[in-house]
Amino acid sequence: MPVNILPTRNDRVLRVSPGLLVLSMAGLALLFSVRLLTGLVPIAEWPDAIWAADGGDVPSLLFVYSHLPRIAISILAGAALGLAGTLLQQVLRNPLAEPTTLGISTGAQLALVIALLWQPWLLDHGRETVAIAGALLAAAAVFAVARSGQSSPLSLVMAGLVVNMTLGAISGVAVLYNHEYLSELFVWQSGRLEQSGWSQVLFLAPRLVCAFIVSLLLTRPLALMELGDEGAQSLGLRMAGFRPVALLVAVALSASVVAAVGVIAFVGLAVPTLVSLAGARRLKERLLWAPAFGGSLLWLADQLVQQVAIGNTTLPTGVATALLGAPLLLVLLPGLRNAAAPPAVSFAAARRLDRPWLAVSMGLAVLGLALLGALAVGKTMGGWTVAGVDAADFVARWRGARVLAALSAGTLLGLAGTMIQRMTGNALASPEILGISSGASLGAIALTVVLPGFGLASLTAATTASAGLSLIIMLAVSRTTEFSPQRLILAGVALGTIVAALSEMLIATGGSSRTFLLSWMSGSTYRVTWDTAIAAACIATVSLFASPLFARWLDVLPLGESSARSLGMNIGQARGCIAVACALMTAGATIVIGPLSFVGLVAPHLARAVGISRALPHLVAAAIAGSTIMVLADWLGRLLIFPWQIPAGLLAALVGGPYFLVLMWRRA
Amino acid sequence: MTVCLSVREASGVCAAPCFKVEGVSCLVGGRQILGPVSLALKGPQVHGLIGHNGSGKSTLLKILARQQRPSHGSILYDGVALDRLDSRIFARKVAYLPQQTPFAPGLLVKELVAFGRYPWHGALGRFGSDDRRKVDEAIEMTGITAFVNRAVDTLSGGERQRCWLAMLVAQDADCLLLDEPIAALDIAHQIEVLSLVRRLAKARSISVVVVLHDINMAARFCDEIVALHSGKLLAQGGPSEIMTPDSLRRIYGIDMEVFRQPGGGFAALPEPGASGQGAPR
Repeated sequence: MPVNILPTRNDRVLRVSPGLLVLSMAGLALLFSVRLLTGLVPIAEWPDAIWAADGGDVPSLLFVYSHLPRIAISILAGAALGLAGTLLQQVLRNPLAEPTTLGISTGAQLALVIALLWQPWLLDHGRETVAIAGALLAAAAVFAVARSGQSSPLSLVMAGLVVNMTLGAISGVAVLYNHEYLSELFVWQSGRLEQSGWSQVLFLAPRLVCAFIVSLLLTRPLALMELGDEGAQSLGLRMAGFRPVALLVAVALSASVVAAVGVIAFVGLAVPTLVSLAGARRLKERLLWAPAFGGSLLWLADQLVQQVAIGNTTLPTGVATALLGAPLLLVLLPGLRNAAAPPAVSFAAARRLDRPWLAVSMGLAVLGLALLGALAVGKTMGGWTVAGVDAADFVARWRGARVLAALSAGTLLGLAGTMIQRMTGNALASPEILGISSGASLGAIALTVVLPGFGLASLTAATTASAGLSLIIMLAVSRTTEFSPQRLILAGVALGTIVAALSEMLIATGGSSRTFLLSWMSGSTYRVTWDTAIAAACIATVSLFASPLFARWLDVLPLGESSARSLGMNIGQARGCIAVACALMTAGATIVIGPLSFVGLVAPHLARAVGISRALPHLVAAAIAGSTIMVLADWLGRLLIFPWQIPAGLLAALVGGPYFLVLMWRRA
Repeated sequence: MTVCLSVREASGVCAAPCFKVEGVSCLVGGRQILGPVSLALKGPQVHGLIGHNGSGKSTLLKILARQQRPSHGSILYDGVALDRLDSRIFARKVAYLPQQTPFAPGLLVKELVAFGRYPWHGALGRFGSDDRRKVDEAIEMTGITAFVNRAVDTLSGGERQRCWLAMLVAQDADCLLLDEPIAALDIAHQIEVLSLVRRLAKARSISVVVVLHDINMAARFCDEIVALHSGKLLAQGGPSEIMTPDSLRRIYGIDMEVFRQPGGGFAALPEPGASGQGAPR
């Protein structure tokens, strides 16, 4: 139960009821729809067009087989995502849970990539079947790793996260080397609702109805889950029975949506939060209003998309929902009740080392070996080579900068990840939640649009500037609440969603920026020069030596806000300093090697899993783990598919993901 | 430093009020849950804060501990307005134990107790020999020497409570604010913890404000009892003034019989026929 964001009824922020919100959005969407439809067929002729569509002219064919089903699918998909998101957040007790948390969309994506590239016959059964199969397999993997529904919500979420990253990395590699064949995939990925008939509506509608009925039947047991596992069990609720059922409903429903219309970001994540901000407090109310709200939001977003043409195409609806909803979340956030966050109970220390520094020095030895290997061992056309001292020039010229950059980025991400996880007490938090990587990416994206033939200097300038700007926005949004973790997390998620939506749109529209963005997003060290590597190394060294300054704060903050305050800590000041430090470190890493999610998330957990619990050894161990992962990933990325290369960021997730899953499996 | 120490040195001799609360009230969601309350808590004494559920005693304690801001009113500590004190300076003077102590997974007892020195060394200062001595002293005083090397989350409720108290002792404050420290303990452990608190208060001549549910425990261990009712101050006085059937009826809304123990203590029991109508709202 990392963060609880539900406001109580008295404190509700919007002075509107959920009903009013839904009505106004649906009304607006209806207005737009009618305007669009009357442009096609005058209102008076609508009944004729509907009844005589098959024999009618082109406008009435479009009316019945394109526009009407599009409206229907937007409402259905939005409702389904809203419902699935509410169920998942309730069951997993985490406001960051969303339909994609359990690996659903990455599973579907990977299945589609495999089918498109290597097994086209699979698509004979329809895109939906392939996507659903992939989604369910991925969800099954998540359940298997977390040992089914009996395990805690936290381990489910963690397993989902790592499965997501691993599968995403696999399809990332495939996409990177085959993106010219995968245009259809990019379109699907950015969520498009164009329809050519009623088949998808008929596919989704019965599933939504079934899921809705089941979740209404489950309302009471689900509501009891708010009491936590122990409280619910003492009331006679069999968690082992109800949790998997509820999760299965949510998973199946989200998988159906993903299969039908692709990845629609944000609805599943934000709608449950928005609905409760609007005053739907009880689970039953939320279960009723979330689908209504999700449906009308997606309907409105889809109509807005159709009003604006960009070039000869329109914005993908998934992008529009993010662009519409994320600012809404940012605007609503200041009204979020500043509830004292529950203390960090998320880290279950399996064991505790008596001598953490021994483990740290062993990790340092492993890092040394990895460095040696990365610098000395390579591959040429003739086979494996080991560079000796005489080849120092060659090594320094071709490998030195990359290895140094990987080392520094890993260190920075490990440190930032540890700080952010200890500060927020949320095991899902990684440096990106501060929105800095997203901001840096936004700069890179903007650059590809404004200045297509950019150089390295302008890339660095653009990413630095936009990372700084996003830091200022984040701090401004959360300053009034002493940088409360839930505020930071949600604001970062909103910012990240906007960036993800924009970059997916650019990738989907193709063009010269696609290749660059794909490689930027996958965290490669290709562009690194000695200058940037040395700059990153300086930042990393300074951060490493500065980290003891934060150790006491990071030791005390997990005790919870009230304990920390009664010990005389100035909470706002401490959190603000930590947030700024994390942001600077993340920016340093992002500018060198691009946005990387995996290392900053996993390195702190690895250090924990070894049994290190105090802040200082935790910071150092996570820095070592992060840099080891990065150096190894960079090295292997050079060797594995020689003469081609795999970006270090992708490979880190590809290798580190399964390893982490095994670790979780053994600990479960 | 000298400022903080002077309080303790002075408090032994002069009876300056340690807390002076003036017209403090607290609104949550438009509902007044506390106040306006005005009272003075004189040091070095053990003050028991009692009242029915929802009477605002925990809220008042949180406001004293600066965990919560009052909606109106002002509070002086040792003559200084509460919100004008730096947070670490304040923590050297006043220590607070929340009603629910955090879970703190994987934390060792000795580490927890050492956290109590934070107000003195801060984020960057050296953990010096003075800090070490205070921690050892606190561990010995609370009798938790046997499990200093165990993880806090593996201890029983009573043991854990003593560890958190040890942290407060190590904090070396002039005033302890304890929110229902004995709520989850059996009677032997209740006595043990409250005796410890009282011993501490007397040995170091510091003041304690403790929220208690059990009126008999309050009468036994407190020098002064402050009774709240529906957010307002109802009575303030020594145990002999509060432990009368009349004032107990006003506090809890139930008829109570008061016995005199041979040793001079008081004990109150609900009258055989009394039916609890719950706390009056």
